[in-house]
Amino acid sequence: MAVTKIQPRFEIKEQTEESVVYQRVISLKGRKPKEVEKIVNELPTATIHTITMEEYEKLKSIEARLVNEFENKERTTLNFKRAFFSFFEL
Amino acid sequence: MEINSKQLLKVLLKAFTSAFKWNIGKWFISVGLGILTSVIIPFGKEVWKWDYITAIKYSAYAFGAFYLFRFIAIAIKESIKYFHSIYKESVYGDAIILLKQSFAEAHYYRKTPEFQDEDFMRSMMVFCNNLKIIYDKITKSNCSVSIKVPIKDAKVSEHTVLKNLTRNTENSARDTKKYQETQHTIIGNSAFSNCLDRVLKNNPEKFYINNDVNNEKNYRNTSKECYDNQELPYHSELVHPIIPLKSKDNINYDCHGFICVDSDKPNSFESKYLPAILEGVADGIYDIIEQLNSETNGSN
Repeated sequence: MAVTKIQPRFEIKEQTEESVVYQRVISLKGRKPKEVEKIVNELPTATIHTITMEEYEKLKSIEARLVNEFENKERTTLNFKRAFFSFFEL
Repeated sequence: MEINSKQLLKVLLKAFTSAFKWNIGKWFISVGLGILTSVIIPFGKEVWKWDYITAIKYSAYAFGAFYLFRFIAIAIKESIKYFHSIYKESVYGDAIILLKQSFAEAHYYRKTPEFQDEDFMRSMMVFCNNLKIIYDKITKSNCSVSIKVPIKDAKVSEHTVLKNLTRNTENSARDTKKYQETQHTIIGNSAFSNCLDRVLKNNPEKFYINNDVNNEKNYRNTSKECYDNQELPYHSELVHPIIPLKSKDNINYDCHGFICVDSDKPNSFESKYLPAILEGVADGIYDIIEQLNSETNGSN
């Protein structure tokens, strides 16, 4: 399969307290300012919403707590599976 | 794998009848008459002193042996077809069941008014763990699934930093201290910047696939520095932005991060069904992160 090769060409259009709005950069060559403005206004945007470092750390500490729960569950399932398949030689 | 004995019996019955489905003339000429006249009668007469009845009897045995051979060959062919279809059904069937479980967890979180951050994290982890099982089975490789979220920085720029929110439990050891401290920027990673580029071009396919990350010249990945010889512990990568499948105008998208799947084998990801699974999940995850953000911002 072909590998995707796209050179990213985007810039920040605006930013708020918790988000960054990205937009593509267009070539200005041979274009009048009004034309550029019209194109830019119609360009798609992507608003990247961020979370604070405090919020992130809080979530990570919850994750650390939950990992044990998931690991135990996984271990039980895997052991049972392994025993079943080895018993029936599947 | 669950074997349906009724279906298996059907397969054998089909092989039994199919083995007969050979033109009667062909049977007679190639097997019956052919063996009788060209081999059995002259040879039997000469060597074993057979009479005609004995020769016909042996000819019938030969006929039976031919039939049995045909039956076994057809039964093997039909069984392989059957088991292949069962395997395919079980892989994608299991995927449906696991996705149902994951979405049930996510919907529960969304429907519970006094939800906790713990419920949110649990639902994220369930998604990662279940997606790992799904992608392992489909790609027949060892996959890792993670969710990356953008972090608010004092200096917001193209260098927006993404951090690993969670990863499937089995591969959690990858998130070393060095990995956590590394600045994983959008621009520093081909996967994220290409996904963003596709969103900004309103490309219907917003995912990024690279099936040979360690041999791609222009490939950028900030995680490389976390590993010996800058070699990533995976070969294939599939990334999708966490955006809604449909937005109000389908031009302006809100993005809450990226969902990443990687595989330890090259050429693991085809570009039709595997990104579609991730696309659906990204849509679901978008809603719950959106809810978390609005609750967090609302409560502040």
